[in-house]
Amino acid sequence: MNTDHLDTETLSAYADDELKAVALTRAERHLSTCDHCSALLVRLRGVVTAAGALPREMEPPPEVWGAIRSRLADARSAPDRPARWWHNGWLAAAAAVILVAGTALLVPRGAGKAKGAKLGVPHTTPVVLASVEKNYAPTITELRETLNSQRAVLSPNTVKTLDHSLAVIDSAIAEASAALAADPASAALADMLAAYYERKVEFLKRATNLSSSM
Amino acid sequence: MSARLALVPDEPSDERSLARRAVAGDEAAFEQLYHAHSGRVFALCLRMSGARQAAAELTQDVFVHIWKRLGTWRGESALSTWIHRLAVNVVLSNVRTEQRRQKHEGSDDGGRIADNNDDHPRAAEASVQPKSVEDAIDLENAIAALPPGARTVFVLHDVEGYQHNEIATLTGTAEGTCRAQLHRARQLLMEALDR
Repeated sequence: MNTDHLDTETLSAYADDELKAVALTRAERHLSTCDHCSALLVRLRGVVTAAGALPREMEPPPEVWGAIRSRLADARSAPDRPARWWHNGWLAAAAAVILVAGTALLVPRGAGKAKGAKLGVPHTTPVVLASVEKNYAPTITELRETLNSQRAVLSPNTVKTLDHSLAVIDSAIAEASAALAADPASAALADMLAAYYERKVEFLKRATNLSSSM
Repeated sequence: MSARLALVPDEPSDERSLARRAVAGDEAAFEQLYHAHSGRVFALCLRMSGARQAAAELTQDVFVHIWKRLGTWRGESALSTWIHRLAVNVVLSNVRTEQRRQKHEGSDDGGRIADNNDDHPRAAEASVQPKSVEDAIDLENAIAALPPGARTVFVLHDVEGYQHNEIATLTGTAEGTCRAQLHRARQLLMEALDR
């Protein structure tokens, strides 16, 4: 009696033809001798087939159209999308240049050492640096996730512009972080890093507003 | 605008015309587009939200977005595809908001099929053969009771036919995570349908 059954994940991947050669061979060998797993595979394929055969259309409640119609006038009379300027590539590029120039001017010369050693956060993160990062990380993560999920509705050029601008801001943050790591007592550097994070949060908010308004 | 719409090769001409008129502010034309596409949008919203009231509200949101954004439809894909993709994004955005709210309030996705079967889809709506109707209803109810993450991936992959890389892009998660959610959803559905 074969008690070393295939787990559902393997069976599911097998049903989708996604197992790699070795795993596939092992699964097929097992399935050829195990009635339990073969039956499970049949059931699993049945679920997949049934899901694919579900009706694609369902009539919405009749009141839905009325509710939509009542919102149409307001929808177009509302102020235009606040982040529309990101469509203008030259303006986004100008913003990027300002950020880069600002970073170059504001990061003190001493920061170069830390940057040269390794751009970003060192192994031993100073308390101030960790505190600044911790303050903004959850918001940035959340906005990033929202933006990532909405990329599909943005044009390739807009996505490219957003990514470029984010890279510029991240570069500025990395440089300021490195400078602060080299000089953890500097209140000015801590303020500057916080300002860059603020800028990133503001940028991500604008970007998500842009995509959610599409 | 009209030039862009005219570039669409496989869009029914009447639908292109309706889209043009809707962009110009013609609500009657937009209503026709609504009736042509609302069934697919509502089905998607219903399966991904798992609740009829939420699906009705999401359908409203989707069509308000369409009304606002129809002028940006470039005609690179069929209007139905553009609408469907927009609907997926609206629903996913809502799912994330809801998950954040639940997380904030301390509720738990927990890996189990939740027992929130109070607002379920659609017995009368499935237009399949009699023997299949019960099975389809059981499956719809089981899908609606899946944890949100697993439900999202299952609906997009097994019902709507999206690939893992597309789902990963739409949801902002790794492909491996999508696969794990799909396998989990299938296992939970098999367990639910066995009861």
